[in-house]
Amino acid sequence: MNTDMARALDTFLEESRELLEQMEHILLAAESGCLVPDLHALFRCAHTIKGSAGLFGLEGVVRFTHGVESVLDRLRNGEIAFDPALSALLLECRDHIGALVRADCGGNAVPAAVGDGLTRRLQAWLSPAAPAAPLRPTAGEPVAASGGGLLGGADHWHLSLRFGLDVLRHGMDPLSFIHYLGQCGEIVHLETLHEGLPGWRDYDPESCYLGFEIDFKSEASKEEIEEIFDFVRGDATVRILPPHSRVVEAAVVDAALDKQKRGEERKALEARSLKVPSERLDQLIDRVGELVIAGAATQILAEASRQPALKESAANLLRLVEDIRDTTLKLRMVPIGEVFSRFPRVVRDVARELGKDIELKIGGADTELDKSMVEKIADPLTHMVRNAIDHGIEPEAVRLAAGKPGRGTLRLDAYHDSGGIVIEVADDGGGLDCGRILQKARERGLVGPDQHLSRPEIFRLILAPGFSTAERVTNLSGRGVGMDVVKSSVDALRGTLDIESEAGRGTVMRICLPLTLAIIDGFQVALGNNIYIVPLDMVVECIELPPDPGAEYLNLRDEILPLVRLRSLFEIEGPAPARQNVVVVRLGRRKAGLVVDRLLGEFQTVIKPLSKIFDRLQGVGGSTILGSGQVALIVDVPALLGLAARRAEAGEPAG
Amino acid sequence: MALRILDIRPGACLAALEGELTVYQAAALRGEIERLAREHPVLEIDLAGATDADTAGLQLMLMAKRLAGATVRFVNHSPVVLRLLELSNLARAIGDPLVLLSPRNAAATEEKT
Repeated sequence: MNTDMARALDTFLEESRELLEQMEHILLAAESGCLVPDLHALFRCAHTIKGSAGLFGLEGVVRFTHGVESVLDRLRNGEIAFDPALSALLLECRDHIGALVRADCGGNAVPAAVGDGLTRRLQAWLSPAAPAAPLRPTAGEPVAASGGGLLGGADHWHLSLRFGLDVLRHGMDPLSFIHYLGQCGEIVHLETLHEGLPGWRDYDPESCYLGFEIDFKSEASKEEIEEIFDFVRGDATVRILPPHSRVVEAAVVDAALDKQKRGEERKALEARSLKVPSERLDQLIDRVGELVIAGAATQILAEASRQPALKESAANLLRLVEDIRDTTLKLRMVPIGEVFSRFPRVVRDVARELGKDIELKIGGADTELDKSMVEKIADPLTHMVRNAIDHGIEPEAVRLAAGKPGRGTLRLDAYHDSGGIVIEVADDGGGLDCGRILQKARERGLVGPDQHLSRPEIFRLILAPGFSTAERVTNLSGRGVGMDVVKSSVDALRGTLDIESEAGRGTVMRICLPLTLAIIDGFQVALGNNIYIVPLDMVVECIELPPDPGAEYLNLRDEILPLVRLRSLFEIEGPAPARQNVVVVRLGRRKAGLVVDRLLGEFQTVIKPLSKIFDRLQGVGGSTILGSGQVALIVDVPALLGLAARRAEAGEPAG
Repeated sequence: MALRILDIRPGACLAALEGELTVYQAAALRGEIERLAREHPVLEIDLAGATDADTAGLQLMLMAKRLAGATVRFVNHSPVVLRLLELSNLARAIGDPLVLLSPRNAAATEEKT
């Protein structure tokens, strides 16, 4: 396969993914009964996938989709009605189409038996009188094979009218013909094609540029309809397609397809969005990162030069660079709805499997966050949603006995909060059982028998690896894997996970994430001649270290903080200065003091990942390049807080 | 003059169409719309007085909407214009707010005329 073909196939893959998503959306809406499903759109999705697959000669996809399409066609024409069994079957078919498409585009092969089984089940929806039309899948003419479906319902005439430029000058008015046509039958649908209009300069008000596509319902014969247009014969092209027609002139189909395509293009234009490969964006952000560094270097030189004009211009430059940085980072922002959109299906499937009735409410789907985070947060969120349905929401009988509505509610919410994004998964289930969690934790030796824990601390126990309070292991969850994976995924994104729960009322799991991973505001500190950077949003305050060499703890206004001496951690050589400082950092509820030599102040920092060979380095999360060209290491605060906590557990008790 | 100027405000002009929105006036209207739109960024054309309309008139409305550098709005569509828009299914493409053509409204529009 040459590269052009491969690229086209990529486009096809992308396009079918979008269409399949749309199908899923419509089918789920149909199933929930809350909306009148757009059956035409549903049909169009399948039809377009089949057509494009035909172009690539993907016969498997064409054959299977054709069967689905036949059922959708009957559905669309009102010959059969939606019921739960049908929508469930169609959802399965949708998944199968997706699997087939992926298989043809280099994915895993799909066993033929699955498709055959589905096709057999689909047959039940095709009446014996109207079996699926035999199909000759020929690459290049996929549309013609599917007949008039595209041009409206099968029981209408379809008229395609193209008028010549001079028709108005000849004293004829196309619309008056159409008006007359309307009196001989019913115009079901009319589309005026005005794409032929020229630019204003070339526009002759006495020329006709319009064309019409008309769905027309009438008892009249073809000759009678043709007669209506006898007067304009010389000035117009009139094509008339009888009802139930399956033989379509390619030109008419092309015109209609063209029209449809133009409509789509226009829509795309209206959306005013642009698809850009993400690696290009990454390159841009990388460049902007360099720009930030270079700008900072200029700023330092300007400061040193003591020339006011130069200083001012450097300050201006830096401000612009910061603007560009912010704008560029925004380019990577995508609405979290991209992730949320998969959940209606997940909830439906899981709820069905467990025999629960659950309503999913989604809020804040427009909230934006970094594209790379969207990808990484999807799996943890799925875990949490499954957990909430399985363990959180009680079976209907239990709910009714507790005086709650039988239908459980699961809420997914996202919103921006102080420079970060918060994602909530909330259920109105039974809540977490503190007693049982504590009991399990004691059994497993996670908590000492006399140790007293606050409620939030108890809730946090469920994040421990292998922890499960479920009495029964289900297919979905309860094996005790999951929440610890969620926790580590969130940690990896520099986020926090909080749990709130009230017995009998439900549970809220709240993930807080930073908006981006690429650039942070940093706080520079020095150890000997080396410069380190602490992420500024984690810095609470800075104080001077009280002269008590070797102290492991610091009493800060009666709050005991563990101290982490970065000098010894990073094995800095040379004597420590007489006076050292403490940077108090916080992440979630954990706090610690980092002991450093000197405080240097704020600095905008572009995070450069460390290469693999530094993986084993403790307490360092990345590197950056300073304006002076010097390399500075970024302190991994969550890791240091973990270290401090572990030391507190192992060593003498805090306080 | 196919267009009678009713009001001129800074940046905007309100004009009323007199006579027909048809092929017979289309050339004249094209010129006048072009001239007025060049002088006024917003041109509002009152169609209450349109006594007849045809394909050429419809085309003119579509074209006026595409005129670069100016916003042309049509208001007070007379019943005959409304009927034409309905027949051609172009109300959305032209995009001006319309009073739906129910018999009552049509009568009200005619009264105004």
